[in-house]
Amino acid sequence: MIALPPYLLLIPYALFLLGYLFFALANIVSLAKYGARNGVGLVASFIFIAGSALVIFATWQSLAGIDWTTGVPLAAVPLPAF
Amino acid sequence: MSIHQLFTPNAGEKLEFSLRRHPIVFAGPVFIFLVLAAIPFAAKTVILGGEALALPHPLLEIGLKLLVSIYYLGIWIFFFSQFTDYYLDINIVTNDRILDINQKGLFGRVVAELDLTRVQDVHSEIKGIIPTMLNYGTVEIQTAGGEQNFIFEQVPNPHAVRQRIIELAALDRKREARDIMHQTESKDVAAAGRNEMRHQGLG
Repeated sequence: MIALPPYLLLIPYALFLLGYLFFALANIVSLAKYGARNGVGLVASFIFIAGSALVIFATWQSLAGIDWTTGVPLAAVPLPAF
Repeated sequence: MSIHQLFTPNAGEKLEFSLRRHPIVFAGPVFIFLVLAAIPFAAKTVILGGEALALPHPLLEIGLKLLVSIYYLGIWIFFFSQFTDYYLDINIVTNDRILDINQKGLFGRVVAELDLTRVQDVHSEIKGIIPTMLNYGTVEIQTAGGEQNFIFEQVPNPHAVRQRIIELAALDRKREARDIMHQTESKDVAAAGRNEMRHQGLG
C-alpha cells in the first residue's frame, strides 16, 4: 500500500511562494523606484506586506498540529466519480 | 523619489503640475478584489449551509487549505499589481514640455515627451454621469507634424488642465521667440564689432 507523507504537498506550495516573493519584490521595487516620495507607495507596500503575512500566518495556524512526516495510505483517498 | 526625480529639468525649467488618473478609477479593481475574496465564504455558505467542510481524507484537507491560501495570495498580489500599475502612470507638465509616463505591467515603462511649442490644439472632454459628478475626463493634446497625440485619460479637472496647457504653450512660444531674437541681436552686434576691428586694421 502506497503511503505519502503530507510534506510532499508543501513542495508545490513552496514553489508558489517563491514566485509570489519574486512578483512582490518586483512590485515594491517599482513603487520605490518610480513612485513619488509622498508616502502613498510606502503605505501601500506596508498594507501589502501585512496582508501577505496575515494570509500566510492564517495558513500556518490552520495547518498546526499536523504530522508532516508520517505517510498517509493512498488507498483511503476517495477517487472522484465520473 | 519626488516628482522632480522622474525627469531631468532643463535650464530654467520648472514643474507646473502633475496628474494621475482620478482615484475613483481604482474603485473597479477594489470591487473585483472584494468579490473574489468573498467567493470562498459565499460558496461555503451556499453549498454547506455554513457548516464546516468534513473531508474524508487528511491529504484532501491539507491540500484544500493550501489551495485556499494560494487563491488568496494570488488575488492579493494581483490587486497590488493593479495598484502599482495605476499609481505609476503619471503625466508631468512643466513650463517647457509635457511628459507622459505609462507603466506597462510590472516590467515595462514608456516615457513620451512633447515640447510645449509643438502643441497645436488641446481638447478636453467629460462624458458620463459619474465623471460629470466627480469632474474627471480626458485631455487630448494635438501635436504638430505627424507625431502621435498625447492623451491624458480620466484626469481630474480636465477643462482647467486644458486651459493651463494652452496658456503654458503660448508662454513657451513667446519665450522661444524672445530667445531667438536675443541670439540674432547678439550675432548682429558681434558681426558689427568684427567688421569695425577689420576696418581699423586690428583683426
